Amino acid sequence: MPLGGVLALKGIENSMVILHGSQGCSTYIRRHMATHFNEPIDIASSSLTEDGTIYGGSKNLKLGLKNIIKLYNPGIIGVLTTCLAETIGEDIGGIITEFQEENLESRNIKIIPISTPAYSGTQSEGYYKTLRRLVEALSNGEVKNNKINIIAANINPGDIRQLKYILNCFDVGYTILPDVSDTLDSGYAKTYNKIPEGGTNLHDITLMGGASATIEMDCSAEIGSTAGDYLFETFGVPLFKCAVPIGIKATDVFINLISQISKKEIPKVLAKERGSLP
Amino acid sequence: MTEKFGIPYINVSFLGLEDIKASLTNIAEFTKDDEIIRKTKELIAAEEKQIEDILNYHKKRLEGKKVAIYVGGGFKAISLIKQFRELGMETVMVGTQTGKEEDYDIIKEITREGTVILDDTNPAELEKFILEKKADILVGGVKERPLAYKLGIAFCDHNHERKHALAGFEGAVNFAKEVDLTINSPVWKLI
Repeated sequence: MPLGGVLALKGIENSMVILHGSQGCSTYIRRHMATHFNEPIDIASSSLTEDGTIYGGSKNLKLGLKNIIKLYNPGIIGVLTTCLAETIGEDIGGIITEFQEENLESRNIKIIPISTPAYSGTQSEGYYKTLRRLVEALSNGEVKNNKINIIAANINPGDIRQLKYILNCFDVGYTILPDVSDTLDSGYAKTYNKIPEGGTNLHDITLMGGASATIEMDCSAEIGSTAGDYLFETFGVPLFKCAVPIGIKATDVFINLISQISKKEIPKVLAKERGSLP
Repeated sequence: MTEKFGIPYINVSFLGLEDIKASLTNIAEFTKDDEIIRKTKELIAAEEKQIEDILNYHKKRLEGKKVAIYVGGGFKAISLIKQFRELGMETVMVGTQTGKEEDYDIIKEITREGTVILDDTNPAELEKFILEKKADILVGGVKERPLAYKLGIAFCDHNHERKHALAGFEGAVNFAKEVDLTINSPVWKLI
């Protein structure tokens, strides 16, 4: 659950994540993701020890949030729980509310509680749940727009880049959630940014409630539980589900969906690419 | 085993020439057998002679470079400081995740005044002090490798996943070669 949650949050622009739990929970996800993506992966930890476990970890979590804001200056912080925090029944939503009441400067930062105990779900479930919590917290239906929401499966930066290429060929507006194409595959720069550039823009997420449709690449999550389901049920954004566009059949489905939603012909360049498959 | 069965023990380390030589000598002396002590002395001299040239070659290319260390345990940090000193390199930052107070006392003793010593640190502090102390190389676990490269400095992985030896006389050469290759890699001139 927390690993999936972190993966989703790493595709959000100017985001940071903290795990409410013991240090190892964030260390091992950092270690795994750093070698997988070859990128520095910063994940804060509230570093619960015996004291925090017995008397409650709100002091640790608040201090952690303070440090993150000071060091990273993020626009959004995802607060994920771990087995330990859930077992002792931490009310992270309550702690965050208190924190934002006590710290004026934190009020313009989105701090989103997400419950992700590893014993209750898989990496995939943590990923989709986090995406849902993001649109629940940020999206509204106030501004109607012609964008297409693309809720991406947990796929690699190259795959996300390819999806963007296809969408750009159509010349349609879109919001891809999450977008790890730059955040988890960045180059060397003269000055090092603690939070990598790129990711889904927060304002774009607010617009997702007024989009023309959602394409969601997921066929495994419980029906009614996903971000796409929420956008449909709350704002009436039509929802289309498809598999990850890997392979000709699934790619055809994805491309036809964009054509159908945008009422645009399939771009010649894509038809040509399909025809020249070796 | 000492407490329960009365089996005596000594601490040894086979990483870095200084510790290897001291450990072999200590083991030999522990036997109180003159023949073993003599043979050990010969072995040390022979092994050292064999790697002298190659070690000196790397040493020349590494002398004066600055090192940042961030590892799990205190013992490893201490051992690395000594190994870098043997190569003429100066440790400017050193940290551990689980080092004990006694470890830090030793670290303080064997490093120069002004060396940054960190306990259980985070990426933000690593970045700050690597840049501030102008380190040429970071030695750490695999999590830290991408950070070193993003900061434009060399990296040496001193983790369990490597397959070649870093222990013993042969390991001392491997270590020097590895550090030399990454620090003097032409890529740092191209970034």
